Formats: sequence, structure tokens, C-alpha cells
Amino acid sequence: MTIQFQKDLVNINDLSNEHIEYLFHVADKMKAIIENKQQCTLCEGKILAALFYEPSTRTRFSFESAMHRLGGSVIGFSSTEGTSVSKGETLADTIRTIANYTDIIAIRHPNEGSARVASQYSKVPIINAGDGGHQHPTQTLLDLYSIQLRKHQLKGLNVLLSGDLRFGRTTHSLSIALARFGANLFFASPPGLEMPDYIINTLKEEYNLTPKIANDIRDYIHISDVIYMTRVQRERLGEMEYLQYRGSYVLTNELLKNAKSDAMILHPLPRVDEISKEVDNDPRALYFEQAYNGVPMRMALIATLLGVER
Amino acid sequence: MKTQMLENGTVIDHLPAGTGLHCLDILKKHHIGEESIIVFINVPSEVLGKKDMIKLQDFYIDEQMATFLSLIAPNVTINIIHEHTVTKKIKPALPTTIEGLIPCVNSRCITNTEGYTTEYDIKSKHPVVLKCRYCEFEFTPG
Repeated sequence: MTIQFQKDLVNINDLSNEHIEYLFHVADKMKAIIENKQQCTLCEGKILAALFYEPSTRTRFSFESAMHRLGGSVIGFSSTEGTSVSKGETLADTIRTIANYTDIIAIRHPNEGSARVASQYSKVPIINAGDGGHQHPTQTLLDLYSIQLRKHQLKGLNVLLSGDLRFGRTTHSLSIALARFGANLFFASPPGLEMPDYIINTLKEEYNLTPKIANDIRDYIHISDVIYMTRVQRERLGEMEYLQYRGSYVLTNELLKNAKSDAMILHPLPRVDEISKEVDNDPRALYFEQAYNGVPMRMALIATLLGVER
Repeated sequence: MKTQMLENGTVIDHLPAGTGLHCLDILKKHHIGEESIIVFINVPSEVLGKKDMIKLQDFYIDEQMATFLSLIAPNVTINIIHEHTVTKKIKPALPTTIEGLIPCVNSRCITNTEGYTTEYDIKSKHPVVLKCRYCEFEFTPG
């Protein structure tokens, strides 16, 4: 299969459905490499810069793990302390410099649109690893991949996105991608944390999809094939506002009694209190499997953007 | 209310009724200093029913500023006056994209923190809705 990718992955719309399905196919191969403990040299001699201006556990470590498993190496930072950023260097200048030292850059940044700026100043591929409350397209890829692996399709599935949909960037990219694949969307969030209008408008205008919206997860849990929970984005709220929302929605075993027996419970993690720990033992709780899928999917993406996946 | 009253300057015409003072605020922020200004409010208009109008003595609006005003007043007409005569008429067409001119209203947008030039797609013309190409935030300028 020959398929041309753009240089960067900034927005989930930089990928067509065909691109995403191709990445599923490459991720399957990467999964086999990991599980069979095969030596991989696809990225030998290549360097990934992991520039994390904001804290991260899963995204950063899975990018690093992915590059190491591909036979490449990683440089970068997980805090701007000790870098020229703390001296006031602009994003554009940092990117122009790091692009001289590396072959591909993954960037997480607190400002929305930062990955777009990075792509304009970089001669090497840029991967958006989360830009403020805007998008998190690689999380979307692994979310889609996780659903595809279990459900073998995306079209026609009822997907319930619940929690902080206002600042939960993973839900922004994911809802657009699911709409493109023909899934049905249900949003449940506390008042004040609803999905932004621009996402709702895009779903309606570009995909002819009007999501069902509620303030309570109970309204749609019984018909959902996928229950996707998100935490309150404390770092994007004032402390008083955070306290107002903390604990305002919790997925419990009691609530799950009404869920389908084959529903998937997903969460981009980290979890705070929005999924009760008792749920971890439910066979439908698949969020740690989902986190694992981040490595083969990011291996697939890095290798593909570098043109070495075949 | 005759343009002949203005010897040299600009007449900004066909502003929707109620937007004149708002447009003046924007002009003040961006361009205008100590010039003499007359704002007409609720002037009878065949096209709009009622309209607002601004006359600026000895001040000339450029094409870029005219485009900016068209985001707030899509039917705006700009008349440039020299010695009581209209020497140029600008009827700005709303473009499909906008660069610079106005900041993104999303305070978390990268364009507001490091001074990158803003870029917008015009999503809707009535009312005007801009979509930031960086953060994708949508808003009506004004």
C-alpha cells in the first residue's frame, strides 16, 4: 500500500480516514515486534526530540519507549527549567534550533495552536503531543486503535464522552475523528464544562452529526458501546472552579450495572476520581490496555512520518 | 449630513445602526489621534432603514482598515474626500481569510503569548464569524 502523509501531525484532520487505517495496519506490525521481543532497527541513527513544556507521564514515556523500540534515540526535556525557554526564548527559536539536532519532534505545550507554530518553523516533522486545551491527535490515534482492536469497526458505534469536555483536548480530536468514521456521539458533562461550540459546529456543519448532549452520564450509559471518561483539567481552571467540579461525576460499579455487557470503558489517564477504583476489576475497564496501545501506535506514527515503516 | 461639509478626510458610510460608536472606538484604538470626528447615529437609509455614519476630518482610511471595518459592517462604504470631492470610493469585499489586523480572543492561543501574526478563515459572513487557524477558536469580531 502506498500512501502519502503530510510532513507533520498537528491536527487530527491532517490525517484522512485512509491514513488512520494505514496507521492501524502499521501499529499491528509494531505490536507484533513488541510482543515477540524482536530487535527493530527501523529508526537506527534517528533522533526524536521530546519537548514537553507541560507535565506528562504516558505520552512522554510512550513516545520515548516507541523511539527506543524502533532502534532510535531520544533527547528532550520534561520541564523548561534548565533550558533557554526559561530565559525567554520563543517557541519558534527553540524549534528552529532543535530541528537542527534531530530528525523528528514531539511537542507538548500549554498554548493552543503551539504545534501549528512549531510546524511552520521546523524542517523536520512535528508531532502534536497536546497543545493546551486544543488537540491531542496521537491520543486520538491510540483511542481509535483501541476501539478498532476490540470492536473491529468504528462506524455505527455509540460513543459516550463524559467529563471535562471543555478543556479535555483528547475529546476534541476524538469526537472529530469518530464523526468522520461514522460513529454516533453522546456528550455528558457538568454545566460549565460542555464541549466547545466550535467542535459542535464542526460536527454539524462538516459531518452532519448532531451529538446528543446531557449533564448526566446516566442518560446515555445504557446505550453506549464505548464510555470514554476524562478528568477535570485542573491546570486550566482556577482553584475555586476546580473545587466546584471535583468529584461532581464518578463512574462506579453501581452506574455500570446499566451499561452494556460488552461496553468498553476508556480514559486517556491520568485518572483522579472520575472512575472509582472498584471499576478497575470490571472486564470492561480497558484504560490500561488503551495506554499500552500508545506505544505501537506512536511507533507506527514516528516510523511513517520518517518514511521508514515499510 | 452632506459630504460637501467635509473639505478633506473620510466618510465611513452604511454602518449598521448602533455600530457607529463601536467602530469609532476601534478606529481610535488603531489609528486615529486628534482629528475632528463627527458620528451620525440612526440616519434614515434606503438600504438599511437606519444607519450610522462617521466623518473624519483630515484623516484617510487605507484598504486594510477598510477591510477591518467590513468585518463589523459588511456593507460599509468608505469615501475619501479631497477638497469637497469624493476622489476614491472603497467598497471592501469581505475576504475569505484575514491575516493580522485583530488579535485572537482566545487568551490561551499561542498568537497572544509570543506575538505571531494571527490568521483567520471567515466561517460565516452574516454575522461575520472568524475561525483562528492556530487554536480554531471561533468568534465574531467587534
